[in-house]
Amino acid sequence: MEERRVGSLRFRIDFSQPIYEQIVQQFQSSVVKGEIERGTKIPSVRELAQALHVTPNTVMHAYQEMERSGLTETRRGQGTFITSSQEQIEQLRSKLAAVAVREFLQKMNDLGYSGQAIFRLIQDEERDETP
Amino acid sequence: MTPALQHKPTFAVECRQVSKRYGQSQALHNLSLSLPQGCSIGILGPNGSGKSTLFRLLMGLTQPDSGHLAVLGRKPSWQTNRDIAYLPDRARWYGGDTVRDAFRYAERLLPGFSRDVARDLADIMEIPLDMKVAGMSRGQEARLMIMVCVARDVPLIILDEPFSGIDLLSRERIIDCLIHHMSRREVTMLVSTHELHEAEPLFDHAVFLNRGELLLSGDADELRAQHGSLERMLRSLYT
Amino acid sequence: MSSGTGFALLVARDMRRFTNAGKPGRRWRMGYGVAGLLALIVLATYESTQHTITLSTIGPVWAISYYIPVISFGFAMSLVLNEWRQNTVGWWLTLPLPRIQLTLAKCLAAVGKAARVSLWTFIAVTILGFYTSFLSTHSLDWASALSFLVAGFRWTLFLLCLCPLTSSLGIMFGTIRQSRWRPALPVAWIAWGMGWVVWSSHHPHWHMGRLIGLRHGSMTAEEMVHLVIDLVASWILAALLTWIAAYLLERQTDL
Repeated sequence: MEERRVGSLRFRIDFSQPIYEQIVQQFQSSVVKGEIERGTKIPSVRELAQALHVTPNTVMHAYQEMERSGLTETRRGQGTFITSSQEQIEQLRSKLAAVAVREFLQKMNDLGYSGQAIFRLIQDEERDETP
Repeated sequence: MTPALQHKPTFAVECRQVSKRYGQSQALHNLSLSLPQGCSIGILGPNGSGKSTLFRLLMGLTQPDSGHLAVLGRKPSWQTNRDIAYLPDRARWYGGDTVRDAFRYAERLLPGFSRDVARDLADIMEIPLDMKVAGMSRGQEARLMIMVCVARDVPLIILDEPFSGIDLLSRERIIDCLIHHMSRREVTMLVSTHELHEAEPLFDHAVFLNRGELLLSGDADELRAQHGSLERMLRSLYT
Repeated sequence: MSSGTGFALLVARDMRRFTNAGKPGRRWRMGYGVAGLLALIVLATYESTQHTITLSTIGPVWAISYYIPVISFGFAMSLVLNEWRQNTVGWWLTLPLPRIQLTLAKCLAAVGKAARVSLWTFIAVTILGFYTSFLSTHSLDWASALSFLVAGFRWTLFLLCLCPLTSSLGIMFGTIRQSRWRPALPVAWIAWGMGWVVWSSHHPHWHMGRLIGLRHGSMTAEEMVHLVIDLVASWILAALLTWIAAYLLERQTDL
């Protein structure tokens, strides 16, 4: 697995996972982290395919997925842009947060923790981090 | 179906119950396949799984013993070959030619070949036009043959083992060249290989063959979601 | 792009193609060629000092060109077999041209190569003939020189006219070897040999001396007509054989 850079974007592609999903996820996390600003133009399907050494169909699939979820918007004759709506991005952020929480809870449940016990552990952890 | 639609078949390749036998060995056994248009398809499997036989049938180099076969909606013949760029397996180019001679040959004999595109490719692939084939390394010759195929504006490209027996650098160059080509125009690409390595991201669709039979076929990303990388599948399916 | 220019290119490429292009063997062959030529010159020089040699007596020396139809057979067969030997057959047989154009192009290329060899043979024999007779008699008799050349030209032309037939045979034998009909190869050879024996026994006018126009005198008009009919028949047969080869490539070749 190697890192590929496209302009200011960085991608890591792992061939054991669906490639289009990884492209979507990496765009999502870059947007949420603020690495890509609202309304920024993103590379064309062709450019990204060539830069990532993946097929244009794969990139197209990822872009369709991003458009469907409202992360990007296509402006006729101009290309594809990250959504300019802050609301959309906040929605995405809370969606990703919900996924992260669900995964975390699942893991804790597997370890035998639940409810209050988990909450207490989080508080302990936070106290340790802020001296 | 309207007549206009009949001209543009939905499938690039269709096989129904195709069997082919060479002497004692059964190269293809009741193979049924439908390969979509407009994407790149990996035909995967170990040596002797019937990949080359399938391609030879599609090019009309040999006839099936039984079953029905269609390429671009038509029965394979020299006429359908106008629309197909084909790299034969273990092929060599004519030793007396220079790169320029090879391009002249392609321009006159292979419909859709563009000398300008070929020149650009030669630049990218770093093959000098005056170079003689007889003096080329195996990898350089492979690059030349890929260029002859890819510089053609045809709806279907069939490459039989384009990566075998050549150096890593040439392999990467060829993969870049193929991706470049796919992003330039709508094309269906059939590529056979028995080892994936760097070619893994080249495929939208994968077909696994074994001993002339279909093991598995599907969208590459869906297969990855279920089984992990294609390369892992290739290793686990055949051991 | 018309298929006509593609066909012409195929013929031209096969005419240019040497079976040993770029291999070290080529130098050796050139060496042998030069050595053979030198030996011939020495022999001619020696003979011309021992005997009186005039151009009117050495006409039969043109018989040396007998090898031309044979070599065109060899050219044709190796043009076909080399596609397999050099692993280019996949390109050749997937060309978007009717198979008959593929076999016809090879056949014409073999005839073309034979024509080139004939030309060089003609020039070599002419030079050698003039050289020996001049050395022997210290003079040149223009009348006999002209008849020597005319005889040679007629003979060479006749042999070249046979080349379409021998070339198409070479194409056919080459394709049979690579097809499912391969086991029938000996039968084809025997059939060809017997056909030739039977046929030639009925055609005494195909005699070299008469064709050249020496000793036995010129051919009669009637014989000439027969000869032309025979040649045209051989070309029709050649077309048929080329067509059979095309059929074999299309239907009976297992790749």
